Amino acid sequence: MDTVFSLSGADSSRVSSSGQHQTGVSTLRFQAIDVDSFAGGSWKSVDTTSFRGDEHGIWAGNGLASGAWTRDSLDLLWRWWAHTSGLISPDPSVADHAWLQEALSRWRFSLPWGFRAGALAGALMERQDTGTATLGLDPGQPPGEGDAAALWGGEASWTGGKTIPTTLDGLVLEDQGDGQLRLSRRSAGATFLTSLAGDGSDSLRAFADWDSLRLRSQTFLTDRSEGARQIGASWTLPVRRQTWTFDGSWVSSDRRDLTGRDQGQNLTGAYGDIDFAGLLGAGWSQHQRLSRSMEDRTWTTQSTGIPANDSVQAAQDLRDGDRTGILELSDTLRWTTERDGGWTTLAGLVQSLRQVRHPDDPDPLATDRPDEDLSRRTLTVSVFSRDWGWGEHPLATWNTLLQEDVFPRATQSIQTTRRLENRFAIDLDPSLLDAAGLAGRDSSSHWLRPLGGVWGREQRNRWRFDTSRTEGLLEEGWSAGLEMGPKTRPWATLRWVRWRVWTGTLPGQDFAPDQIQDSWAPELSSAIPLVDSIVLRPWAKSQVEHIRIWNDTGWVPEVRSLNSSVGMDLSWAWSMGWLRANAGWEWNEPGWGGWTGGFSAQMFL
Amino acid sequence: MKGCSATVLLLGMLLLSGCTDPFAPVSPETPTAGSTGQGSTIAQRVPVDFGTALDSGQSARIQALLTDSAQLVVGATILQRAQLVTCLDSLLSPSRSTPLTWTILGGSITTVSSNLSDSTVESFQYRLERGTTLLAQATATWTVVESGTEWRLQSWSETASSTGWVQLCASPR
Repeated sequence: MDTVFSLSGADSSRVSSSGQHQTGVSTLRFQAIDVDSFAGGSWKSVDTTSFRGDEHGIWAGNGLASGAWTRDSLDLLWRWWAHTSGLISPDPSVADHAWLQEALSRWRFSLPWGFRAGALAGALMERQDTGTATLGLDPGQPPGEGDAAALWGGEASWTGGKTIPTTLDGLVLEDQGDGQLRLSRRSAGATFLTSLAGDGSDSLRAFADWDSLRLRSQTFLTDRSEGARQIGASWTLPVRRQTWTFDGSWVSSDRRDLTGRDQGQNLTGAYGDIDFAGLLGAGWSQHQRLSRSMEDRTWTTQSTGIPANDSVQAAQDLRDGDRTGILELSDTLRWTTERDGGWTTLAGLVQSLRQVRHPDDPDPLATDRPDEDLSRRTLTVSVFSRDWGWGEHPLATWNTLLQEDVFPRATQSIQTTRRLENRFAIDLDPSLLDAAGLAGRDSSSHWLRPLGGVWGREQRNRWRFDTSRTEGLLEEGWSAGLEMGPKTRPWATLRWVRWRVWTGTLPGQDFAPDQIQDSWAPELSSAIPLVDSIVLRPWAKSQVEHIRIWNDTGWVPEVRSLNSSVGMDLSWAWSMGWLRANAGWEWNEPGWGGWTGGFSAQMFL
Repeated sequence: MKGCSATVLLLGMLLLSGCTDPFAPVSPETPTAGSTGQGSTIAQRVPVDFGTALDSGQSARIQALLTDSAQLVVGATILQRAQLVTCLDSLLSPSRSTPLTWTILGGSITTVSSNLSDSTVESFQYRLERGTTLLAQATATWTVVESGTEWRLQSWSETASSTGWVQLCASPR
């Protein structure tokens, strides 16, 4: 995989643009991609520019221009990053601009025994026009104005192996300069593919990767080093109608922020999955998955040079180190029939336990990162219908959750909670007139469909060591609507949603609500086809929320809020591209109101 | 082969849902005294609630407002939580008939600064009296920390003075 000279997204020539304005904030984005031939070679370029204007009318922008040219054994790459901020500011002195350019060339050649190699050379340069608010790269130091460095390196790869197809690759890219601007990268990888059975019925993929990065740049306001090492294997074994998949990997990574602004982290992780899935016959199928992971993290903060501060921070870093283990088992049983338009029933049980421990914090303070056991069991039963349901959404579903969040240590165990939650939902999309045979047989017939749904949820939270503290929640809601036109492209949709949420305490086995949130949300939208694939979509929606509080004698209205918006979308698609635009007006009571708008367009060249 | 797969599946499920429950959490330790009871609902209430508890002689309420590692720091002198509680119990002894009066001078508590979201540093001047006798008067800097939904006193520091809390604890009046 050529990661150094590849340009992401450069697969076809096109231009695109988008913009958005909401709550006083505006964004604009432009992108041009060119894929062409030039001077006997192939040429690709990707140019992206984005701007953001805040509610005070001050703009900031980022840009990346990149181009790559390849001919025979020669590759040339050029990248130019730029950012600017404080544009159109009342105080011009805060404005700053910075850019960084990278130019890289590669000459590839073949070696004996099927090896391929490449030599890399290039340069890196950045310039900074600082403002009064520009931060220095090193805390307490003024920002630099610019620097340059030379780049050099090499790469090698080998692909071969008849019985065990193998890919090996390695890269070294080093910088040469005064150390103020740095970009160096080293990586190596190996991939093996084989079949243990020898007949190709199974497949085993094994891999090993090693990667390190050192980057220091005033333009990106970063001075960091990162490294990662990973080995793993995945074995897929079909057995009749069942398939076993075994995955295992080990990862070690480290990252350091040499400016000291962020904590550095070392991570060592081991991950394993066993997946077993397949058909059982008579419409039945099953899927079981067992996952286990174990991660160790340690933290390191860059020294500040002040011994008193460093020793306090070092002690905190030591206490923050954690070991996190996750065990998860998912069992799913599914039954599908094609009768009566197609029905599927699914039952699933997901059980998991996440354990966090801090081995170097034997006597944690209440404010230290807590040891924690989070145990969750979720039972789900769902019914799907092709005719009566909403696409991939279930027609009816029941869900029960039992969650125990345990903080084992005495200084933090007061937070230990237990949650029980039940919820159900029914979503109907019956094509009644169509089902009754009232619609024409023509596929363009005009259907009239009622839409409807109900849902409910109850939740109980109890604190193990604070029995006076309980929380209960009860929610009920329904939606009703009408849709006209073809199911895939309805002409008009009217929907009304109403839901209520009671929250309160749980005295004994009872529920004593002390707040009721009552909400309504009507919504109307339509699609009006105009000429040449131009579709106009006017819409309006609103949400009214009414909250009442129990004051020991009766329910008192406390808060009322309104959020409404009205607008219009326009879309136009043609053979070479598309254009979408929207404009609307939004008002909130209490709160902000104003216009919203946006557009996006793309054209292939 | 079909029967073999089903047997393996069944055995696996039985193993994972059998005698031991691998998804059960451990049993938590009993909470420490400092983490139970009632802290303050907001950071700025901690000195106020502390004073109310002192005025009404509620030793348990005062202890609930201290974290397990609370300490009083005056210059080079450090009183750990246990010493601070002993001192408070002495001040609130039932044998003393005249109640205490805690006053935050000027009525204002200044939030100084904190670089942690779950702690706040507050500064205020206080005066503690028993009847008409002045027991202590100083400027205190408190670091209060959030635990769960409650705030508690973690660190109480004062500059050394003849009317500060350390002198009061050295010879409770």
